[in-house]
Amino acid sequence: MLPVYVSIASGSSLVFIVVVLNAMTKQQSRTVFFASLDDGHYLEYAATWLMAIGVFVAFLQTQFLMQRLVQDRYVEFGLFINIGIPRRIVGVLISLEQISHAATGGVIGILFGFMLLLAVSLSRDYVSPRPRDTALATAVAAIVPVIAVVPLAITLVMRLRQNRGGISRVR
Amino acid sequence: MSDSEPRIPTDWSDVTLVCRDVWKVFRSGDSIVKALQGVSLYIGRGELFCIRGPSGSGKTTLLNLLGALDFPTKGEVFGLGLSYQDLSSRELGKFRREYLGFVFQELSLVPHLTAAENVLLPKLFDGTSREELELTASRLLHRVDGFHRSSHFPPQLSAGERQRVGIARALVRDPRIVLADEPTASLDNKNVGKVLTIFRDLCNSGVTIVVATHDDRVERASDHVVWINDGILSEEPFR
Repeated sequence: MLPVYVSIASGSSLVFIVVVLNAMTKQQSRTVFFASLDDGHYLEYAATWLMAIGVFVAFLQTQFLMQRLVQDRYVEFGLFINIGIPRRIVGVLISLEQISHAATGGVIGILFGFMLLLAVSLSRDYVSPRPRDTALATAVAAIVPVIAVVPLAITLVMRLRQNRGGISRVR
Repeated sequence: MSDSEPRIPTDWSDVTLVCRDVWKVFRSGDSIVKALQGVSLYIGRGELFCIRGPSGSGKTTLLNLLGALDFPTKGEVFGLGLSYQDLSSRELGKFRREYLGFVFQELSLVPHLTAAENVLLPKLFDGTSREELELTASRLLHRVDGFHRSSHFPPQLSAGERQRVGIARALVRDPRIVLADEPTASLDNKNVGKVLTIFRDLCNSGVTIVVATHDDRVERASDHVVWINDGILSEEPFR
């Protein structure tokens, strides 16, 4: 599972970094460009867009990855149904597993992000983000991968419910 | 009655599985594949029933229908007197869980669970206590001669051991019917002998076993053999 966690973590740390970067940019632009607000706003727009794109990319990355993971294990889930484990339980198992993988990857990603922040803080021009911005970045980085797997889990559970028999391609 | 017609049971109380004029048609784009064409058969209680045929002849499709994993395009399938068509999704799940045991071909074990955990898989979510689960696993693995490998993972087991673990899993709920798809594929003579001995013991205790195979050794050990080719069932081998 390590490659899966690393992949989710990379997305999650991207989210953490872009959210912190956005907050730091705004903070800095308001200090440096205090006299000329217009210039400061351009930077703020850029940072906001960068954050939005970063979050979107991380969301898609986690979703595609987990979709592939579920597809690869469809035979295994089919086996559970074929041997009589209720679909409801199989659906809950898959959903819980996906969410726990996403959350684990998210936490690793946040740790990554913090380490990066520490590394950057060694530079001379570093402006420390406010604690509430760091907390926001941590929350967003933890939530994005988890939210990304929810539509996938719902789709899968619906698909399992539609199929009245078993999964007849288990070999 | 000609040899190609199904045998008709004399004592219906002993009939476990019935297929009545079953057709299964698969559609893929413009092409239509008739996997089963008007199959009728009756399988009695405690019988070791063998379905023989080459690859792609419809054996697995027939086994899937008998196990309520799939449904016929036309015709009816009955298990223990119940028509599968009349059962809801939940009832079918319950039927499979309580009365059927499946032995699939290779790779049907969950690779990240141990042999014992794989055996217990069907019982893991029904509230059985841990002690009882452990006892069940050891009893079943003893029965299939695989107890010493209970803590091993499937990739660490030989093909014969994996197949025997699969059989143990099929027996975990004391099923009345066991459906086995090519259970002896890729096994050597010694392991085939072990599998057939287990099957014979089960039949003697009243369990019905249906085996889809193209293995002569299984055919010789069976109580009744039917042949299938291009979805057509016969009581006589095809020439």
